[in-house]
Amino acid sequence: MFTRDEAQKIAQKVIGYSTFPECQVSVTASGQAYTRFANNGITTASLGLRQNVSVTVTRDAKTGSYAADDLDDASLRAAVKKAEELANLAPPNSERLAALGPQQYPRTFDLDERTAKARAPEMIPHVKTIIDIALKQKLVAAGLIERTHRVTAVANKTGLFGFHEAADSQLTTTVRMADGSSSGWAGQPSTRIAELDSAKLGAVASEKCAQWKNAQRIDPGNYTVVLEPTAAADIVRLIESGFSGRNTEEGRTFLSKRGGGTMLGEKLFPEFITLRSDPFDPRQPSSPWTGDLLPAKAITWIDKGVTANLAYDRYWATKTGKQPTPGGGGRGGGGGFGGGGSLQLDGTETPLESLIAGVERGLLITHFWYIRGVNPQTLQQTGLTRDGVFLIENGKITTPVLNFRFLESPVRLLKNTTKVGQAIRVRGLEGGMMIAPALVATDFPLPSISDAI
Amino acid sequence: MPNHLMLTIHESVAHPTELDRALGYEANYAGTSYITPATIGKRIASEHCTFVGDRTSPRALGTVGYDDEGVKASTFTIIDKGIFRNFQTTREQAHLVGDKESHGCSQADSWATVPFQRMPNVYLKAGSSDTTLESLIAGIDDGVLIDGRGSYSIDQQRYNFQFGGDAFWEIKGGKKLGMISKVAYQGRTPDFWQSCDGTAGPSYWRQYGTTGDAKGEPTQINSISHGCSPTRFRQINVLVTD
Repeated sequence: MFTRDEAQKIAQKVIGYSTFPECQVSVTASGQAYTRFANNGITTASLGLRQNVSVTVTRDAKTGSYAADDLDDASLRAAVKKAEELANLAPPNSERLAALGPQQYPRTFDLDERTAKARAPEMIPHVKTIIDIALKQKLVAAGLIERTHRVTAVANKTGLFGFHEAADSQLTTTVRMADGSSSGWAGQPSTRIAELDSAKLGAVASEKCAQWKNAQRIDPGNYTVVLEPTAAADIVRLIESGFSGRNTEEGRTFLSKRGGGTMLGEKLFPEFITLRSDPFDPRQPSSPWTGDLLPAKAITWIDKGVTANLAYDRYWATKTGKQPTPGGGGRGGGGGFGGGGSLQLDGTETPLESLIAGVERGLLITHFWYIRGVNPQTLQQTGLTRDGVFLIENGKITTPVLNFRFLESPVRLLKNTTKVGQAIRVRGLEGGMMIAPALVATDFPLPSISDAI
Repeated sequence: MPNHLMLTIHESVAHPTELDRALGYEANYAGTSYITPATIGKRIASEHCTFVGDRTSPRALGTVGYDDEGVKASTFTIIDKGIFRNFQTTREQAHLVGDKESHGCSQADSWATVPFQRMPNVYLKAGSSDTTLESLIAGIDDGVLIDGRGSYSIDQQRYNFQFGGDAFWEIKGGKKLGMISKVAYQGRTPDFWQSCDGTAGPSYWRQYGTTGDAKGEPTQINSISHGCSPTRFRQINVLVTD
């Protein structure tokens, strides 16, 4: 892994090789260690270290990029030469802005050294804990414990330089009946590997598996649902692209008004819905700079139900006379929130049990799987429930039920939300992370049944 | 149409016939499968459906000389006229279903990752040469012609799916009419493939590629090709989306 000084030296060397007026360099090193298990045994353990330098050069608004994994002088020179050759072939980008000058990037994250250095000896006891819980109940456990450590530096020819180091970890497990007749899941991400609670995760997944056995078939339709935090995050985080300032002003998001204009400032959601990006929250690592290399700042997107901000990248902000949004993220105006996964939906002190107790008839959903967009403007999504769905009657869980396919947008989901619970950091099966509460929502469309267990 | 059906084949035929998935090794993420070793020899599709795994075809993304365990690339039958015959296998796991050798499906996505069972190119064999796209359409009283790739989603055992395309035409009285929009279809995989009642001949057969096939933890990607001719399915649940 690079130190700050080492990364800066590499970046300056690359910049020195460039003959173009603009040159931006990204230097990254990453370490990943994991232990994977299935069928109550370890299947894979790995430690991988990677490094990469990417260079982007621009002249006369024509840009070329190239990347190298070998960091010797000859490889770096060759990468710059390739980038310049590609720039000469590229058409001019009419939306190109001049490179940013030096920036002051805030410190967003206190690296946990134990997490950054964890290897199999730290991970295997967690795996053993979960497998022992499963074996005691004649169940079958699979899962993953993983940590990542990443160092990133950015620099350009104007003197801009930023350095960021982050570590993260996660433990997930799926516990199934040996005959495949039931399944339960639990997961926990943490920036501090010492906080991973394998005993709790193993117990939750095993209990879900035991409770979900003999799932009954009930009619598809629209239900009141209680989404556990991971399930809520699975869908809510997909609202991101709807907040692109450019797309909204061009009429392409759910916040676009017919005939022109946006719904900025309008109350579209219940009073208790507040959605924010906070790169300084110690619970989840986030980059100190945006996709445009501006310093990241906390920003509120939905404030007590009111649409509070749209995300403007540098180009679209300049074109429309606005300020670029600190969480504006992406380049070219498409970005949505950007900012490296710092999204959070505010919660309350209400525990999950109380949310369930308030539902007369509905479904408790553990999490979702294979979520894909159906309509990019309305943000309608489809996907499936997985690893535990339960019928709630008169405030009590009464019956395990078969999985469903859903067809719903995060916009409609938040509009139909009636209560939120305690917010925790979660990681969805397909990698999406945010801090989210459990929530209760009405009229959630579940149009068909899945036989999958 | 082939440019649409190739990804339906990917999701509902290629993935559920991965042996590691069927044995529970992917249970925590990619999932398991509705197909198990006990399914070998049983009907899971109509007689019109013969699928092969192929790592030898020229100009296909999943083609190799040897897999990551050194097994020479080959072609093998997965489903023969609707009957499930073979899983995709590696040397490490082929013996678990009584096979004497691997079908050569071990692959890592880079030098830095661990090889495991990944799908080969999977092809639906063409029908008889006298079956044409026009004859398939002529046999439809009320239907939809779907081309291109839209939204794809399928459950972790590959039963329930919802697939969309990017171009749709209404079919009425055996004729292709104007374009329509907001179309998707939902189905249950074994029912869907058993409802197949015809696939066009070899001159209609086309191959397309996909480069983002995700599986394993940490996730690895895979690039493969799938090929087929225009194919007809009956009594499918078509829905209107946003």
